[in-house]
Amino acid sequence: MLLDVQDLTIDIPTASGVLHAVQGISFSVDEGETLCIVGESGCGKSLTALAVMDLLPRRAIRAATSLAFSGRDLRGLSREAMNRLRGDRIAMIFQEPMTSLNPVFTIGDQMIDVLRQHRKVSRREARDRAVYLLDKVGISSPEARLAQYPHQLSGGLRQRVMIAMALMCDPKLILADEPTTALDVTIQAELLRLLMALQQEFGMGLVLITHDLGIVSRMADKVAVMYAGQIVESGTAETIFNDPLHPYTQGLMACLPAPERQRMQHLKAIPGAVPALVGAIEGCRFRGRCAHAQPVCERDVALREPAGAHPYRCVLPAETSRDNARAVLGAGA
Amino acid sequence: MLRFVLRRSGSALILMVVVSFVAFMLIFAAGDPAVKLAGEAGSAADAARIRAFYGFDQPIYLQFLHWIGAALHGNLGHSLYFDQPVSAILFDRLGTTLLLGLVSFIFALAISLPLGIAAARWQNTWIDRTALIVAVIGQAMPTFWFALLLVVMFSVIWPILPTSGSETWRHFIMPSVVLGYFAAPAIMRLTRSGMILALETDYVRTARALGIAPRKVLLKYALRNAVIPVVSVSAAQFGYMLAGSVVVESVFAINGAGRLAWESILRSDLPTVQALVLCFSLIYVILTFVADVLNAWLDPRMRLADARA
Amino acid sequence: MPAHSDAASAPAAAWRMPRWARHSGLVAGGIILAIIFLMGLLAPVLAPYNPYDQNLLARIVPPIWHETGTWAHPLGTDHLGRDYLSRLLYGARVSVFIGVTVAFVSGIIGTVLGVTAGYFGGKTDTVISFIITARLALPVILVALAVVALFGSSLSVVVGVLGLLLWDRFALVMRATTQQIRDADFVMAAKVQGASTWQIIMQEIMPNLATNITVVATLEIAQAIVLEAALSFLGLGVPPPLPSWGLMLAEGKSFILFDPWLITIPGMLLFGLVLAINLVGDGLRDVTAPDSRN
Repeated sequence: MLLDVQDLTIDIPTASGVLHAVQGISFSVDEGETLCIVGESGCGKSLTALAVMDLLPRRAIRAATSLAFSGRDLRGLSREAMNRLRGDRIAMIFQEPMTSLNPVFTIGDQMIDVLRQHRKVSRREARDRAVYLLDKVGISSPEARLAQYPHQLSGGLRQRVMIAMALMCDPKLILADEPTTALDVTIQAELLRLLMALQQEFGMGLVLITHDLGIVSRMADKVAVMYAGQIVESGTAETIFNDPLHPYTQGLMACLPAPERQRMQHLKAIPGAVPALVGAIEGCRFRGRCAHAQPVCERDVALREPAGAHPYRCVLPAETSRDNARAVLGAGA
Repeated sequence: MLRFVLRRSGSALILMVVVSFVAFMLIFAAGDPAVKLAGEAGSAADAARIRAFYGFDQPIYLQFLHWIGAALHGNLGHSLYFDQPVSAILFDRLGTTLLLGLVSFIFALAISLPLGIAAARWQNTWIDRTALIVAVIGQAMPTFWFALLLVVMFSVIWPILPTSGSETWRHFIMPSVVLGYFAAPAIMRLTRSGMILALETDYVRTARALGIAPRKVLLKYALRNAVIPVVSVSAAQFGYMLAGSVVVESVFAINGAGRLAWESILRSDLPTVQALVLCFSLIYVILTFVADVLNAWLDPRMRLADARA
Repeated sequence: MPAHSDAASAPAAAWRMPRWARHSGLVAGGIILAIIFLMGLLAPVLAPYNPYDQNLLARIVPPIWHETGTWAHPLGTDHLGRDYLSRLLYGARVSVFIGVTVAFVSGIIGTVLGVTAGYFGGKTDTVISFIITARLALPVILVALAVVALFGSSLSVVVGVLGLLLWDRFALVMRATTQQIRDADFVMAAKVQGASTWQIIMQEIMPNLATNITVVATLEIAQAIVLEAALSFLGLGVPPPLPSWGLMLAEGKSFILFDPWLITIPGMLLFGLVLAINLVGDGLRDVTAPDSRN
């Protein structure tokens, strides 16, 4: 197992109480595998990635029963050891291509810094590696690009540069936090294809964080659906898409434009808002927005895996859920 | 970049003209300068003679053009007290003041930059608070009192430093500490706030996520961005420091332009005062100009602006 | 970024003491300030002597904590035998008066310029910004010294010249703040309802500048006090025998070798006053900052 996370919680003390941003989530990724973590903004998916990288805001408190990378426990790692791992074995790509590159240094300077931080190589060698990777991510005339500053590149190009930077040390695992959200739709598709191709070529594990189920359907081997700091459903991409059991997953899928669904059917959004996660919280987090909420939902719901189903966090029996899915998504689902 | 420099030097030039006009007008501020120069014992005839000698009877704009024309040729007027060209006295004294200013400025940067960076890096710790206290005290400390305190400490109680003059480097220690500490708080505050903002940016997060060493993140990735506004404020503080030399040089009896200004004012040596006001203003204009150009060069978005336009 | 990490990242880029200390800074500054104000106000009642009365038989009597000190002159006497405590009390009047009046004069000039530039923008802004830049280029202390020398030193000349010189920060801050609120909804609403420019500025803009004006005013009061002291120290501020702390420092300077208390005491007061004003200014800014409730 490349990355194994068990029972991760993230608490953030605030003036109005403790914010339970992430409440005991577990997932794992293997080499060459893509895990998509899906959820609305504010569900804790970005913090989850930052927690793996040990880049949480200083006030945040991280706890887990397991947080292992290539069998190495990340929890007890010293700051220096973690820093050696970051950018070398694990790299991260962020959502904001416009602001994620340093405006006052050239692309080349920033890329070379990454490699020379982790490897004893000459500037020349680091430069060659940068040129190779810029070419790899589909940037034309990479030699000339090295001397350019971020503001001279478009958003799409900057995100390609970010990907190339993340690949400088040939990492085993990439965490990508909404890498294409800020970009045009056409560029999104290109970049995702690129990311997938690179992942296969280098055999990396990929954790892709997104709110966009469309992206998940194209990229994921495994899917974890997050809601309000919890995983509400997880499984292989196939099972999640063919057999969505949680009302929230079903709601997300109903928002997806699907060719097999009738054209007349309107795209809908799930009504309501994510509950506040400050202070003590109890019961199903989704019940306020759920069409099937019952009194029993006032109590906490465990992530369960009944026979013939994948793990999901709902009191409804799998069969009832499947009936609901058919009603919501139409016969095609 | 070139276009920026040209445009910026254009406005600096206009500014210089306006400032010289103010400096020039200074002697008219209190009424007829001829009567003033003639003194209380002077008769109306004396005043008339003086008026003719200095050309005070001509229209003001003509006098100004005359004065500025001469100044452009390096003729800053004739000192009434020394009875020789102002420029002859001025440049020597200005050198001393600029040297003092430079040493003080280096001292100011030497305390404000490290403290500002450390305060940002260890925000809300005792380091941050210590730096804050240093800044708050520096802001409230009147320069002349601080100068006198240092004299009491290091020349009276524990006599290791000379109190007056500018002969050796040891003479420069106390004046530089006083002037430098005067300029430091503003630079320190801006360094700190700039660094805090820079450390919260996405690009610093990127550098951390790619394992760049913390020291390098701080001193390269964050500082290079935070320092851009600091340059402007440092230039302004340098200018204020030079003006502050009037006080410090008179306490430590340093024969610089500041002390010359004070003495000339006391002696009613108006041409010298005029020339000094002009010089100090021009130095300030030049400093801010240099700072703007330096900023444009430090920030590639500005440096390369012309290439894209 | 998701809402969570927004809530988690520290917002404060402004330099703040922890909450209690911020509060105590404001309180301590306010107390020192109140004491010095009262000192000045009640000087005629509190002062044991006439601050101008010379006693050549009791010159440079040291303060009470020295062996030769006497309760007749708790803080000693100066080189002309004038009671130091009395002079310090009356000196507070000079400092406070100068600080407040200068801030008042410069506040009016700076606010008018700043609001005009910020509200109208365009060419008006260009011209006023240029005037501000030109003013910044002038060496304040030099010009002030020269003007005082030309007009003769008196309290009103010092107030006048400093008032005419120290408006730059008012203008800069008011310009920036006005620019920020010029297009706010409530200003737009007033415009739509047909309010005149004058009404908009006086009723919509000015109330929103009040906090900033107060904060800048505290800074300028402090600066004016220091500058007056510096001018007086250089012999071109308020005329002797007026008891100004700066003047007392200048007079005490000659006796620094044997009687350093002659400069430490007025200097401490000056330092304390400026420090107190700055603490109050910083405290006010923090208390009124929109995120101070965080």
